[in-house]
Amino acid sequence: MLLTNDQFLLYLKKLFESNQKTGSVFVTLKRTNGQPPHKTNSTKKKKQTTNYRCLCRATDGKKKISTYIEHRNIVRFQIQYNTILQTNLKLVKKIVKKKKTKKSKFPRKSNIQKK
Amino acid sequence: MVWFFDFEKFYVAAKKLFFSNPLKTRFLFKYRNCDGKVVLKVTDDQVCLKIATKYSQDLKHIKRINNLFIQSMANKDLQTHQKETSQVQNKKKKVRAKH
Repeated sequence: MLLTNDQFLLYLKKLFESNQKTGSVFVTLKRTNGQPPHKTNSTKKKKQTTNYRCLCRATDGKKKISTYIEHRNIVRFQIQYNTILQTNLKLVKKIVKKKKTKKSKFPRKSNIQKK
Repeated sequence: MVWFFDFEKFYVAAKKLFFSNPLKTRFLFKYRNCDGKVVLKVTDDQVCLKIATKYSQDLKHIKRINNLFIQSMANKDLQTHQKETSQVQNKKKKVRAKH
C-alpha cells in the first residue's frame, strides 16, 4: 500500500506495537529511478527525466506498506524515523565484567623478624 | 552471505557496496521484539553483508547506517554526496589522530 511519509510512519509505529510478543518487522530502503529495471519498448521510445527517490517499504509478513522519500523530505523523515526506532527498539544493555586483579587490597605482612 | 562483528567495518563495506552500484543495492532492517534482536543486511543481489546485535549500545551505529542510506538514496547527485561524506570522514579521522 503506497502512503505518504506521515501515514507511513504512523503505520510503522502500529506495526512495531502489534509485533511486540511475536513476529518481526522488516524495513527495506532502496534507491529508485522511477523507471522499471528491465528495458521495455516503451522506455526506449520515451525520453525520461530521472527523478531519484528512496523507496521505503515495511512489512511484518502480513501487512505491507511503502512510501517514497524525496530529497526535500529527507531530514524530516530521518528525525521522525529515528524517534520511532528509539522508542520501539528494546535492546539489552551490555554488561562489561571487570577483570579481577590478582593483587589483594590488604598488603601481605612481610616476614617480620621477631625479637 | 558475509557476517560482520564490527559496526565500523560494516559501515565502510556497506558504503563501498552502495556507491559501486547505487540502483541495485538495498538495505534491510529486521527487528524481533520477542528475541530482542536486530539484523542489518546490505545486498546488491551478488554480494551480501550482514550484521546482528541485541545490545542497546549499538543503537547509535544502527541510526548512523540508516541515516547514511536515507541521505544517499534520496540524493539527486551521488558523486558530490560521496565526496562530501569522504571529506567529513577524513576530518573526523584527523581530529581523532590529534587527540
